[in-house]
Amino acid sequence: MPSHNDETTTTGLFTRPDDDGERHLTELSAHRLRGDELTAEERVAAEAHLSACGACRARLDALDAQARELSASPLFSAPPDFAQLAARRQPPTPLNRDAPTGVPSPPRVATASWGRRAARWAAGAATACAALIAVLWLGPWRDEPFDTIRIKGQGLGFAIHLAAERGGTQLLTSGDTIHPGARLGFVARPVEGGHILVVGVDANHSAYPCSTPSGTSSPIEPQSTAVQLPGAVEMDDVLGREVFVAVRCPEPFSIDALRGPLEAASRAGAEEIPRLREGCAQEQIALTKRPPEAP
Amino acid sequence: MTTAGPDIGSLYREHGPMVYRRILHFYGEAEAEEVLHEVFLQAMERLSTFRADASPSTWLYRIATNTCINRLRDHGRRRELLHIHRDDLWYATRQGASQEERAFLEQLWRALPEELVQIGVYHYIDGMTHGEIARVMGVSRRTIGNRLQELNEQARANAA
Repeated sequence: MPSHNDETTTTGLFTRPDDDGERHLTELSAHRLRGDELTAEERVAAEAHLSACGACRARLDALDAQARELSASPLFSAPPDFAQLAARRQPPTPLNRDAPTGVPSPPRVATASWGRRAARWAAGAATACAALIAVLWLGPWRDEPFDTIRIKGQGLGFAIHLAAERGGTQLLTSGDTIHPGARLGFVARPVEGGHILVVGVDANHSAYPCSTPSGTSSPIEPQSTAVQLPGAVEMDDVLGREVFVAVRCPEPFSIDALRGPLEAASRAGAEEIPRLREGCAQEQIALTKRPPEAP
Repeated sequence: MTTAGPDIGSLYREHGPMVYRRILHFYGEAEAEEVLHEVFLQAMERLSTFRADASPSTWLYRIATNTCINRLRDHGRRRELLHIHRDDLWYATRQGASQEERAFLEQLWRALPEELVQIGVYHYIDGMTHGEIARVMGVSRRTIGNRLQELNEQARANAA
């Protein structure tokens, strides 16, 4: 078995030592080898290793066989239309009871016990997301339009509504209390268009996407009235401070760009989350999650 | 390796099977196709950040790993990383996981910051060295060394 000096430029090709102190090509190195992406030096080192290591040759043979099988499968022989897939998951749903405009995708939760209007919205909205539980928010709309309510923030406009147990919704403001299992939806009224994402961070300082299940921003036009964002969340049982931050940027972005500073600010106990992304508008609402009081 | 910027369709045809295989470490076939599309949608959105001289495999491998981890956390999967298709893993020690690895794979990954989880997956599950993790994540080896030390300390404390 060839040895691999940890200081060489080819050391990144190989795994850390196994139980026998031996190293093997990493899975990524194998893919890079097959993709002709190794440098000349790396290729020489990889081929030298393969000539001496039966285990790696066997793994590479299995990888090749699987790659051939997959390449011939319908999944890869006919690539999907990614532009269409992207369009499907992005549209913000206008808050208009008669015109839910999201592109249909199957709801993951049965809708039988909820209002028909909500079910139609649910089918049109993106899959819901949560810190610990993934559900669609199926709560019925409040009876009055959201554009009659005052929402926080001059530049972005951001509000959270809570699905009430007996129908309708309740607008939440910072300092309000919620309980595990609460279902939250999000509303925005941006003065400028761009791309918007609502992210939450729980008391464990774990950030999660709210307004889209993928954590990717969705495009939004300037609004004179509030619009419902497509995602919703059901609260898990992590108690304590739960902060929701809405961010609107000129360009598309994802939660990956926000997660680090958001979780760091949460760990530092920041009352006001500092600006997460330059050039973007931002609003936050901080809630407290407590167990429901005994009746 | 191409010198012009790749388009998402050709990336999918060339590297889709590799990405799919990566996803199968975290998800069963029933979900893998949906995750596969999500990975390439993420890639499409970040295509402008892809350098023409970079390795598409490395770039997509990282996006696939991040997408799988985020999805598991965001959907609140209670299953343990350690037990997810363990038999299919590329790197697996015969003696099984150490206490620290177990602490990370069974519970700690759900509470750690994003960056540490990624490093932990590359280290514990993929068996990568500091050097390869640094290359994949685009940071220095020293950074990876420091983060792994922090990770191991947290894992030890959690395992104790």
